[in-house]
Amino acid sequence: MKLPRLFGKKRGHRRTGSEAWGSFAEGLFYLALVAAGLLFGGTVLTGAAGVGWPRLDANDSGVGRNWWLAILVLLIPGALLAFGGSGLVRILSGWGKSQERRAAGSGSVSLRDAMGHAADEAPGHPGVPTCDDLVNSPGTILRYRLPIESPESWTLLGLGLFAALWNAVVVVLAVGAGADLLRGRTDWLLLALLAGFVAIGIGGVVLFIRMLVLTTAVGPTQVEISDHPLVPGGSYDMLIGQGGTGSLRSLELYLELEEFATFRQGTDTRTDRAVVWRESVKTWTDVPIAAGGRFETHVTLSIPPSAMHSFASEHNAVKWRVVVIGRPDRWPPFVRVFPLVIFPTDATAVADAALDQETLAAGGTA
Amino acid sequence: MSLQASESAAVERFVGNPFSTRHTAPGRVEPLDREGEPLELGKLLDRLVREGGRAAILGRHGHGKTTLLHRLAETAERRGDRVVRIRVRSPWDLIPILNSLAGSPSDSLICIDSWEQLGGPGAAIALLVARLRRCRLVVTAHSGGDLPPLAVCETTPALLAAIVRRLPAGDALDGGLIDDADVASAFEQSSGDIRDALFRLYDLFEERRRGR
Amino acid sequence: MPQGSIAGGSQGSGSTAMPRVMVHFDRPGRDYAPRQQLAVRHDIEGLGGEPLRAVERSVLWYTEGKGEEDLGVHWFERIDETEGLPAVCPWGEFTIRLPMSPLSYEGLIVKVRWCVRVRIFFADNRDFVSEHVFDVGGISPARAPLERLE
Repeated sequence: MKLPRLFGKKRGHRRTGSEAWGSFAEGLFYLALVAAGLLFGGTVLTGAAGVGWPRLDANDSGVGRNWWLAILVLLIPGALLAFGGSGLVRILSGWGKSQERRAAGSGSVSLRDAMGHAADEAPGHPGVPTCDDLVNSPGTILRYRLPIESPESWTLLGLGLFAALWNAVVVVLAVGAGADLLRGRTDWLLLALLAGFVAIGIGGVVLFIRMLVLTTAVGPTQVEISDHPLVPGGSYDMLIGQGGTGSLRSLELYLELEEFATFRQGTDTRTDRAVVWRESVKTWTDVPIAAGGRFETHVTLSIPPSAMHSFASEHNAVKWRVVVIGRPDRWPPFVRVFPLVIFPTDATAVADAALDQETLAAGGTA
Repeated sequence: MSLQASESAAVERFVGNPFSTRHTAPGRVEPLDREGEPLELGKLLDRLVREGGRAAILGRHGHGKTTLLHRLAETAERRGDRVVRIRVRSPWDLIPILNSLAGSPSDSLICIDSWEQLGGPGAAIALLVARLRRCRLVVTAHSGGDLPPLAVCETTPALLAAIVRRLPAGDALDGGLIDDADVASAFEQSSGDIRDALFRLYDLFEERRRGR
Repeated sequence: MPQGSIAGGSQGSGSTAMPRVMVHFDRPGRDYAPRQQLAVRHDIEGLGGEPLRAVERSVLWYTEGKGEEDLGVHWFERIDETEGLPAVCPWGEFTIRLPMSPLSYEGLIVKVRWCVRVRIFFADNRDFVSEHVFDVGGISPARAPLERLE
């Protein structure tokens, strides 16, 4: 069984972005704040932090000082909870809603977020994004290894962090509740809270384990290509590698063209996406993957001669990508996306020929 | 130069999508009232003076606040006023707003889109500085706060139909790709959000054009 | 690829003249290849004797669709009255070489168009703009939207 890598590539900055990741990472951040607040607050409340709670004894000269100290100490977890909680509420309330609706409340959605990431322009090619991020890692067999968009390993890491932090909080609460019970006191409110926390904690662990098993069982997908950037009319050798255990009912490879358009006005931001062209490159059926090995095959990727090149401006983009869909025997299907950059056809020859014709025509009429 | 093709602008025909943001973005569409009749912008500017020089254009998302603000600014400019336009995206935009207010002569018209993005304290500071600088201030917001309403933007099917009629003539209207029922349906599906309705009509137009 | 023009302007006070700009391209069908030479002649009519402040001529691409409009100016020239407006009014011409990209594209929610834009500035601050679309690259238009695989 091959463990998943957090990065799809061994070297180079190969990560491509997506909107969902932004929200997920933000949510994770707020969740971590809430968990830290709960952890810290729980530690303080249960006395584990060494902050003694004042006794309500008016004769105790230390009462005032202790109260102030306790309140000051609680300010930190309180702030963490308030900040993290409000952030979580915002993220959760915006989940599944359009970006414009989310932006309406905060105004924080920038074009850069909306478009995934702003692309630099390729030299000498206005409006065409550079492919620097796609060619900085050599392949094992072919020239370049393509980066994967939104790898599952990040989801796995997020779920793992969530489960760990949440259950740490559960442990702290459980210790507090257990200590109460041992002292013969029963705090029903704390127990009810604990029951809910335990349920969520178990759910987190189950999700994490399921995702871990899925990722390790399915295995990574590797795509290598003989050249980059591509040009319309060109044909390229492509290597598809699929790791994992067990067999796949099918492995499908598609070439897609997707358009992105972002509109922003005042508090309103909306990004529309539309897949406008798709071609099935190849489908393999009944793909066996030997234990510890991987399925590996070559295929020719042909770019249509009249295809649009990759295009990126401030609010609009036309993006090419390779999509791999695997349907394992025992697991749910998976989809993995690998971006490509297509440059316009090198029209130098065409234009020069046209120029020659113009020159000839001008010479002929002179 | 050998000119082999010669076409006159007068006989060329618009063939793009009339619902693209190029033709429907705020400032491109004439501000209309709920019956679809043009608003008298000069009268609105006069009313701004009566309101003390500071007021808000109110309305929900996609109800024409920014369009009205754009055209109001243009009208003021044509009257010879100095106009400053600012689009607020975050509370940090208070700094350029204060900078603009400080650098503008008194009686300038400061037009601020998305006023509530400044937040309560930011808006209060901007308002105070505008008063001190004796600048006129028109903002767009979902609710007025401390500012009196200059106009409340409301939408109706008649308004959307009037906007569509004013878009560049093309296949959409001439060739029957989009008809009145489509416009009414888009308005209903968008719950009165004109911007959303125009996006729906854009998609419908593309779908039908490609289906032909 | 659609061909067309769009014209409009901001109205100044006390003026009623509505100019007409005609642009003549040197290629049939206005179809050009990237890096190819583009020769244009423009005629301006209907000025009604109004004094001009300047004329701007440009070759640019812009996006059209559901996103905000982006544009890139490939070539731009402004002619002020002091420099010789008579050279471009009532007619003028220019020749440029087109860039490698972007190519004209008739997408679904993103379209890229190339155009020649002539903008006339009158002495009374009014301006008038006229756009004339041409095609670069001969790219196939996008098809209907497809269902997402993810």
